[in-house]
Amino acid sequence: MRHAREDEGILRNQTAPPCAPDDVHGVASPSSTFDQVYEAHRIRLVRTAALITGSPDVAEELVHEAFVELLRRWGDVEQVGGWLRIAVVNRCRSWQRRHILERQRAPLADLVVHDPDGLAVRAALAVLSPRQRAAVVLRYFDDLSEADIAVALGCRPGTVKSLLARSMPKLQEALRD
Amino acid sequence: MTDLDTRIRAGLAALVDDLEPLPRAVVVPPRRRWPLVAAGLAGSLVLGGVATAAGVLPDPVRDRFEEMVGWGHSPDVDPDAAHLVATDQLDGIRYELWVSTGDQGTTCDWVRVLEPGAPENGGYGCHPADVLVFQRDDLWFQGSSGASGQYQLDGRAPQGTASVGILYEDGTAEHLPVSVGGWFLDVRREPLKRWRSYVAYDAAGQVLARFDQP
Repeated sequence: MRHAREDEGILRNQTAPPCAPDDVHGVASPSSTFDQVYEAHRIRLVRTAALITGSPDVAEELVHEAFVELLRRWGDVEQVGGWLRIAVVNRCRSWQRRHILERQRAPLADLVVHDPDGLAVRAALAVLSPRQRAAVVLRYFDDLSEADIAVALGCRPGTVKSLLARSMPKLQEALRD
Repeated sequence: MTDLDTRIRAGLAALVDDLEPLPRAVVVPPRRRWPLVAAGLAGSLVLGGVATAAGVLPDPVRDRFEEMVGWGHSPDVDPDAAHLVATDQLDGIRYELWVSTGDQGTTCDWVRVLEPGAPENGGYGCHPADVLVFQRDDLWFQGSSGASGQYQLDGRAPQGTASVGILYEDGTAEHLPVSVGGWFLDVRREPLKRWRSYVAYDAAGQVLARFDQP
């Protein structure tokens, strides 16, 4: 890690507090321990990551990485829930880019389901691009606003609107009985 | 809520309802990612172009910017817009300065250090406009240790800057040429000295901007 020399008035701002949006699933109070945050957020983050990546195992791994990073920054992060969501979504997208070819051959196959709606949605998600899939999951599973999705994906709200708009016809077609 | 919305929600819930939480993982702090380096040598400046070779953004660079955006305080920065603005090399070690600036004025940058036989290394950070040390966001520089006993200076000067002059507290001064967009990167062997002022000059030698230590 680069080290800034503070006597030269140089700022290498690598751990500045993030300005993540309010966490709709609950903002950790100042007195929350790391364990409490872990227990409060882990399951949902794993499920979100599983829906985005299509693999529960990968989801566990990526969420674990995010918590490791959070532990390293513990004390500097204010909006823990929002920070975690951004960290997990970014890791999912990085993973997707590295595994795009593998996933095209067997998209979402690791998500085993027997429910008819689940089967249909699994097939529907498979036709979406990774970014579209992430936007749909964050919108319909995590119930995030377009503004919050934009922060999580690192894009503008208008881009989120466009991602969702382009996803709907594909989903409608795939879910058509 | 439309029928489609309802079906999507129900389907997503069903997809993950069966997910059993794995045994609680033990979270331990990772080892330091970037090794500390110290010592110094002298270098020469090689100006870099703006675009990457063949226009391809390397995955490690994108990943680094994704991570920075993931910190949460630079949501307007687009990792896919990261581009190479300056390079330098010394003793076979290549330094690349990659930047991405968002439409709200924040900038994330990464000095990527490519040393043969060693893992990719470097230093990175974001500079939201409201936490910059200096009053202006188009004239700043920073120094830090590089790889294998080298030191680096990098920063940004206003558009139109041809060179940046640095006046040190010991009375010496140096000029650094500036790359496209006002970015500069210089690697040297000498440890960094305490500076007093730095000035941005245009091609005619006129002062475009100046910052003096308080």
